[in-house]
Parts: sequence; structure tokens; C-alpha cells
Amino acid sequence: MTISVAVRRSWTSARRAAALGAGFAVAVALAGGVPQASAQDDGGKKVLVVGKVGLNDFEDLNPLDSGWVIQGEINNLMYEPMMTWGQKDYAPAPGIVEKWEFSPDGKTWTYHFDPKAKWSDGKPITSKDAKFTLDLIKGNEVLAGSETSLVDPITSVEAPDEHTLVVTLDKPSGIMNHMNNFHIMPEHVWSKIAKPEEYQGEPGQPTSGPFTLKEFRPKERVVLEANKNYWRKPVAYDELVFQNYETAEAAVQAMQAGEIDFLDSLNPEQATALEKTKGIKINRAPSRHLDMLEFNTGAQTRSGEKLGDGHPALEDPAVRQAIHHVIDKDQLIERILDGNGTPGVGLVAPIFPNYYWDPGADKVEVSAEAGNKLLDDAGYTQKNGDGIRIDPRSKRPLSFRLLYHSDRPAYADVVDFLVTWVKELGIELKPESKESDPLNKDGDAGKFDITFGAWNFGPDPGEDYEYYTCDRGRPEKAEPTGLTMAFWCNEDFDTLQAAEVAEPDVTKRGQIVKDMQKIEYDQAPQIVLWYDYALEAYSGKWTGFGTLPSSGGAIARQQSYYGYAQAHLVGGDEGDGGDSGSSTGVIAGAAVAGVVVIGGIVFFVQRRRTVGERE
Amino acid sequence: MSTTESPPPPVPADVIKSSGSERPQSARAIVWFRRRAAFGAFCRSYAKHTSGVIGLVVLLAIILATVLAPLYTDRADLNAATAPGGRMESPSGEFWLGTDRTGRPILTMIVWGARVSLQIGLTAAVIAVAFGTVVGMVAAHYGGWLSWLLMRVTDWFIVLPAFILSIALVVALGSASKWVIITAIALNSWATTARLVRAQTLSIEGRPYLERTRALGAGDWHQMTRHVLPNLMPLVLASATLRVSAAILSEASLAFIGLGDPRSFSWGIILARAQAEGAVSYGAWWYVLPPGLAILALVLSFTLIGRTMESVLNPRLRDDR
Repeated sequence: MTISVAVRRSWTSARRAAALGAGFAVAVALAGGVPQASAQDDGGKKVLVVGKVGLNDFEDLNPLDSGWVIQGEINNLMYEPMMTWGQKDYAPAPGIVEKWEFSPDGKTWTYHFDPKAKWSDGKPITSKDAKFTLDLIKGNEVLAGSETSLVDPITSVEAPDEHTLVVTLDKPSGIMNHMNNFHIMPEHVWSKIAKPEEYQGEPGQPTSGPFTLKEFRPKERVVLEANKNYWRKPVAYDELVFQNYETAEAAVQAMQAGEIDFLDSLNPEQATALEKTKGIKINRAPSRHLDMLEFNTGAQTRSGEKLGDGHPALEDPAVRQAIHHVIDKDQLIERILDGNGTPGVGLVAPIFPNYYWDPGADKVEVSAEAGNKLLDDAGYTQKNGDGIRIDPRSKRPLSFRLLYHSDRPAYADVVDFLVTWVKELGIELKPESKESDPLNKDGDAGKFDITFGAWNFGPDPGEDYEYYTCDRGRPEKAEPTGLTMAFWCNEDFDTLQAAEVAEPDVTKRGQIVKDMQKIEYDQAPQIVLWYDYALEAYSGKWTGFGTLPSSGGAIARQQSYYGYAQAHLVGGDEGDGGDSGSSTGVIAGAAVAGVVVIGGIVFFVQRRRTVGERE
Repeated sequence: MSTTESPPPPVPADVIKSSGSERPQSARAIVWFRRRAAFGAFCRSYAKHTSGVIGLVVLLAIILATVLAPLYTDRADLNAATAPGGRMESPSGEFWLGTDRTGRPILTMIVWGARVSLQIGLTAAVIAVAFGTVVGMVAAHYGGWLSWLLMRVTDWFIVLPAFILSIALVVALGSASKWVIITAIALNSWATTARLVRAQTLSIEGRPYLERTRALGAGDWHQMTRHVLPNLMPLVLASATLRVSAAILSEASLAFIGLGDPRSFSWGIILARAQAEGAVSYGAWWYVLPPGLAILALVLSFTLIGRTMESVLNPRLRDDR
């Protein structure tokens, strides 16, 4: 009886009910049966609880050394940078510094500090703190290691008065426009820390941003408290909690149960499921993350000694571009990401309007014909018995190994498409799965033909494009190197990169970066498959999350604090969020589910009958 | 199967006596006659164990389903580029167990996945048991420092946490291909067999007839292959059957944490994919339950068969009442 009711309900709810029945009834009972845990109402305090997968990757919260994205995300909430990324378009915007200028030669930069800026302990933030921090980083091997492109060109830092900082460089540097978002530390506290590189993140330290650290249980939980003394607009709630979850699936269950208010990095199915949960809203927005194919474009040392065992035919841009011609990115996005992405071009995602290059009419057309013509014209006309083209120079067939990560099924699915598509070119791909560690080792040693890679762009193009310079692509010694992606070397590109890094003008710099992307797009050391969307869920009780860019972007994993800091509770008391009706519905669902567990087979029969016409 | 050339035969004495009139003449024929008789007795005894029969039927059904898979399914359905279904379709008349993210039918995945799971499970078990048997026999037969050395190595492998070792091995060996997984599983599951075989070999070699063969001039090779091994076989076979279960579970566990070829669709891989694709959140029970139940059925069938063989072949466990 109940079953047929389930079947008559909408397609999705029937599926949902049946699904829940198959073992997840407990979770449902929790979600529906237990009254909402009202995470944001913890003893009268307004608390925003964020679920995080990957909080257990790191054990310290050193604001001067954030290697992990989540580490950076949390530190960004506590420390206001000198200049921040503008929420509108990622353009450098005032932070602690309200305005800055550079000398015509781009070597002398003067920063004017906002007189309102103060630490959470009430002391003013001055240019002396900035000088202290820059000198500290420059003089500390460990800390300087993660900020080389920032501190390397600096020859001197002076603070002529409390509100002015003058930085002198030995060569012009565009990075000084945003100082790489680095955090300055209070001299009155940090001058007493003996080993700043070993700072773990201590609760109660004075901060400059919207939050201070209240509790830090490494790998488990981070609690931030609103900075009452914040010199900009203070946040509209009391505490921000980051709670670790071992798997995304567990976190989704917690979200459905109302234990957390926010969760990022969902996959399309999880987002769809949460979207259907009452009281949960979804943010689907472009992000700065991309996935790509990397070619071994001829790994060798500066003196020409061969590295690894890459296929010689992949040194030829024609072969790489021919492969580009058969990759139907729209289809990949549709089939694998469920439409949650935009087709890839270069390293820069479209959310960076200053830097993103739109290929326009130069867009590589999806056409096996065009690919074949490219190969024919380049001299790959002979074929072996299996119909595979032969490289006229090395006499080897165009049969490439394709390395993919054994723990990322999405890549494995892309592999299926690639293998099928390149066949039309008379090219063979031999897929080989490896665990990430050995796969990266092979990549560093040049022991691959084609492999997968992922990237989070910048937002400073200088550091990212350094990976594609000859300096990196042609290492000095015949040793594995993690500093290059495709072992690529192109002199025109290098010239532009040098110019780009040194360009102090943001607009001019953007133009150079666009020209660089055009070269890369033509030469194809890598093929960017897609920029996938950030899929994030938040409780309907909260609103106002600040996306970056503001026109539509991610809430989490920002290189700023907008996402969480701008959030606030929906007006009125929390009971009216539309939740009241959901528990009965879900309990009914669970009851249906329980029956379905027992009568699963009956359900099958029912479903088969109702959709019999599909055969 | 259970070859018994020398005493003590697990064949009840009356079997041979009752058919005495038909006893053939040549020595070879006698041996084969006794083997047939022993096998017959084994089968009759096995058939008395309902659980063993159920296990065997389930196993045969699984093997049949996967061997005949090309006749009723299309391997191309498992290619994301040519998958026939829509995204995460729930079960229907066309796709009995629904589809995955790229539209692959889950049922087809499971049917073809059985090949991978069985192949890895069987091969790893055979390698592990064969290796363990050789080590155990050599250690028991030669004794002395060789035995000491072999047993210390065995102990070392026994005390190491097997799963952690497997993970380390797969990562160290680089590739997550089928053969690497097989090697990793085999390498950390041979030790218990070695211990078992060593003990049994010692007990067999203590029997008087082996003293006789030695007196008659039999060499090490002859003793081990003609007298010790045949007597070990029942034990080894039962042990191997149980090892298969363990190997299948190991493979599934490794696959689930991302160590395995995601394009191979072993049942562990299917579960790992379901996890990665958010099947539980989505409520795609058809993606999670079937591979789990399939693993359960296969492992259970091997365990039932192994336990039954053990109790039939080991006189001490036999309950022919």
C-alpha cells in the first residue's frame, strides 16, 4: 500500500523515500525526528557552524605560512591584509592600507595606512607593524620560503611615520599592488615570539580582521569569535565554528540533520540532494578551480639531457593541439559535472575579469576533421596495422600513456571519453591508474606522457605562470622537480612573463597576462578541461554570505573574508524558517522507507510496471 | 581433489572393501580407483552440509553470471562515453539497478565487476597459499637455521597489520593496477598458511611410514611431493578457500580507500565510486546496496565452502552422524 503511494508521489520524492529506506532511515529519523539542533542558538549566542572536510590536513594556524587552502581561509578571517582582493572584480582594494602609489620606475612603493585600523586589543595598526613583519619574513628562511616572489625583490622597508610605509625594490614588481594578501603581525606581541615559524595559532592573540581565535583543536575544530574591536563593520553574529568531517558524505548527513549551517565542496549529486532538503539553500557559482590535462612536452635539463621517458611526439604542438580538437568540453561538463562548470581555456578562470582571456573566434573547434588535418599537415601520415599514426621522427606509433588518479573516479570517467575521442585521430591512449603520491612522483620525474592536474588560480598571475617558464621547465639538474607542470619552454612566453611580473600597472599587466594565455592556448602544453563551479550549501536561517566576486562566486575557500563575515541570520526568530512542516514529511518518508526496505523487491516490480514503456 | 596415496586414507575402509570384486589390476588404476572413491566419499559427506551446498550454489551462480556476461550485456555500456542511461537513474525496467553518474547500468557494472573481484580474490589466494605452503613445508622438512629464518620472516608478516602493509605496498609499487593489488594482498596473507602448513608437515613427517620411505632411500623431493604434500592438500585447499574470502575483502577495502583502478569496476571500486559520487546523500541506494550485498554473497559462499571442506576433510571436525 505504502509503496504505491510512494510511487505516485513525484519521481524525486519516490526515489528519495526508497533511497532513504535502503539503510539511511536512521539518518532520516535523526534529521526529521530530532528537533533542529539550532546550531546558531547556543546559549543565546549566534553561532555559524561550518562543516569542513580537510580541516585535519594541518596542525597549525600560522598566519604567516598558510600552505593549505583551508588554513588560508581561516587566517584570512582573522587578519586583514594590507591590500585585499576587491569583492567586485578581484582588483586590489584597500585593506589596512587605504591608498598606495608607486614611483614611475616601479621600484619605490609608498603605502598610506588607514588611521582607523586597530588590533583587537585596541592598539593601533601602524606601518611599524608592517615593517616589523616584512623584515621578519625576509630574515626568516622558513617564512620567506613561502613568500619568495613577494620578499625577493625588496631591498629596504622604511616607516617614516606611523601611517606611511616605503618599500624599495631592486626591480619593479606587480605583486606590490596587493602584497600577495600577506598578513601583518602586531609588533608589540610578535617581537616577543622567539620562533615565529613555529607559531601554532594561540587563542586570544590580537588580530586585525573580523575574528579572533577562541579555540583551536587541531584536526577537529576551530572556533573563531567575532572581534568586538573590529575597526570596520563588525560581523553580525558571535561565533564561527569550523567542524571537521572525515568524508563529504558524513558532512552532508550532518547538514541534512541541521548540525551544521554551511558546507562547501559538494559534488553535483550532493548539491542536488541538499537542494531538495527543506531549509537548505545552494550556492552554485563559478570558482577559481580547474581541472586539466598536462602533456610532457619534452622533459629535459637546461643542457639538453633528457629527463624521464616522455613520448617524443608530444614535443610537437601539432599533436597536442590535435588532441585538443577532439575534446568536447561541453559534453564533459554536462556528463561529469552535471552542467556545473564552464569550458576551460587557460589557467585563469573567468571570474578574474582583469586577467581572463576569452579566445572568442580563436576557440579550438571540436572537430576530429580539423585534428586529423593538423596531424596530416605535420607529417603524421603513416599508420601502423592497428590504424595508429606513426611519428616520422622517432618511428614510434602515437600511443601515449595517460596517468590518472586511482582515487578520483571523475578523472577515470574523463579517461573513458578521451580514449574514445582520440581514436578518431589515429591516436591511442593507454590509461594507467596510480595513487596520487606515486603519480606525482612520476610527474616530477617526467615519467609520463599525459596526466591530469588541478589548479586554483592566483589571484596573482605571476606565481602561477612561473610554473610554465623555461627556468622551471628546463631544470638545471637532472633531478625530479615539482616546480613545473608540463616541462614546457617557450621564449615568447618567458619574455611576456618577465614583463608581467614587473608591470606595476594592473590594467597593463592584465593585457600581458591575456597575451600569455593566447600563447599557451595555441601551444597547448596543457588543455584546461573546465572551471568547475563551487557547490555550497547553507542553512536557510542564514543569509547575506558574501560571494567573491560579488556578481556570483564562491563563499568558501576565498582569499578574503567576505564569505562568512558578511553572513547574518535571517530576520525574525529562527522557528519560521519553513522547517516546521518538514519533520512530519520526513518522518512519513522514513515510515515509507521502512516498508520499502522490507518490500524492496515489490518496489522494483512496481517501478518496472510504471515505466514499462521505456523499453 | 584429495589425493590419498599413502595411509592414513580419509576414505572409510568399507568403501574399498564393499566394491572389492570390481577392483582393477594395475597399480595406477588402483590409485585412480581410490582417488575416485575418496572423491565420491568427499562429495557425499559434503552434500550432507546444507550450508556448504548453499555456498557452492551461490558461488556457481555468480561464476555463471559473470562468465556468460558477454552474452547478455554489452561491455561498451561501462564506457562513460557510450553509457546508455541518464544521470543517476533509479531502477527501472530498462536498468534494473539504476545507473551511475555517467549513465552506466549498475547491474552491468556488478556483473562485470564480479570478474575482477573473483580474479583478484582467487589469484591472490592461490599465490598466497602456494607460497605459504612451500615456505611451511621447507621450514618443517629441513629444520635448523633455515626453519628458524623462515619462521621469523613468517612471524614478522603475521604481526604486521596486514591492511596497512597492503596500502604501503600499493603506494610503494606505484601503479594501482590489478597485478599490484594482487601482489599486495598475496604478500601479506601467506604467513598464516605457512605456519599452519609447517605444523601439519611436522605432524605428517612424524608418522612411521615416512620413516619407512626414508629407510627405502626416498630423497627430500620424493618425500615432500609424494607423501607430505598429498596429505597436506585437504588442509591447504580448505585454507585456500577461506583465503579467497579474505582476499576479496582486502581488495574491496583497498579499492574503497582509492587504491585500485577506478575503471575496472571491481565491487570495491563500485562502492568507492558510489561514495565519491555522493550516492548516499543522493539517496541512490541502488548504487550502494547491490555491490555491498554482492560482496557479502561471494565472501559468504567462499566461507561456507571453506568451512564445510574443513569439517569434511579434517577427521577431528567431521560430524558424520
